[in-house]
Amino acid sequence: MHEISVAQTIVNEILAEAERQSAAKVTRVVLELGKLTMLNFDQVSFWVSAFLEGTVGEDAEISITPVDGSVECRECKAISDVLVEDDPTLHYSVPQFTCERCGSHNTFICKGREMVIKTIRIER
Amino acid sequence: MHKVSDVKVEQDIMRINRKIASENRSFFEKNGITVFNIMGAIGSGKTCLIEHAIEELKDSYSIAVIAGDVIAQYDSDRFASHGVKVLPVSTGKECHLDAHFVEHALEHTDVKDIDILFIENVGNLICPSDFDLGEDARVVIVSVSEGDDIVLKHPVIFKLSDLTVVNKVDIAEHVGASAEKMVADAITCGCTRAIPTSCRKGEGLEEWVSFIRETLRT
Repeated sequence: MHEISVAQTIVNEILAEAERQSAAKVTRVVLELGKLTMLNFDQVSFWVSAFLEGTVGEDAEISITPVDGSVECRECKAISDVLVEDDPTLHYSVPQFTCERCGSHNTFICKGREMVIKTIRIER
Repeated sequence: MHKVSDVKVEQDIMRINRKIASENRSFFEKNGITVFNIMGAIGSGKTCLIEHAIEELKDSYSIAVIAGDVIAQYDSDRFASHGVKVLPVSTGKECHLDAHFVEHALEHTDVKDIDILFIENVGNLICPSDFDLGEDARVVIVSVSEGDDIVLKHPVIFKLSDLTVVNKVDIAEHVGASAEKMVADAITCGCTRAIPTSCRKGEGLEEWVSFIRETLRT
């Protein structure tokens, strides 16, 4: 998994922004992560904190807002939520990308792949 | 007293990859190169399927391969033995290729005279799906020996691929897997086309090569 490289990129961006803002401290980081990135959010949070150690952001609280997945249908243009079905045999959830209106599989993911740094809270 | 403020950042961390991928895509379009991003697990048969396609197509087209691997030398040597241009990319501990790796490989080798570029991604069904490389088509290869629930375990990469190849179907019976289920699961996940193949026995390879021909820029 690439949680570590994602976390490293996030931290680089946070520190660059902190420097632009002449921040003495970064106390909060708000991230928006799509559920279809298949990232493990706890791992991302852990590694962001780990990489922030020894920097102006070392005490920052990491807040992650999960974004649900959506697909847009190429046939009927409807936008559907990505349904998540629990599969007891696989012991985890399987996303279904089918169009809720016409049942087509010919859809594309229009939401749920976000990896965005929304805001940082700083002290000057 | 400290002055506390919330600063809007609104930075998508994938934007840099998207920008480079789009530059790669422009370069490929300008030079008439059709690019295939070949993804799949370790040992699924990516190298073997590319080698077969090279043999079928090399008399009609000029072909190059970017061989992405933890240590790229081994696959590079295999591709080079078919007389095509090879661009090895050793990724070290990075578990996927990104657009920058591809851009970097292109800086070192002139591919302007190439018609078809195969990019063999690092063996992994998770990370490569997030990274656009600037390709025309994405192919995901799985083998029956990965277990016939492998597709449903990694739905996103199948959703984002133009072709699923279910490989090694000749041994399905011996590993207790249903190739038919895997093909059906790929379609359920939203991949538009899925084919069963056996690199060793030759099954499905014509359709694999047909897919490449159909994707080529005219």
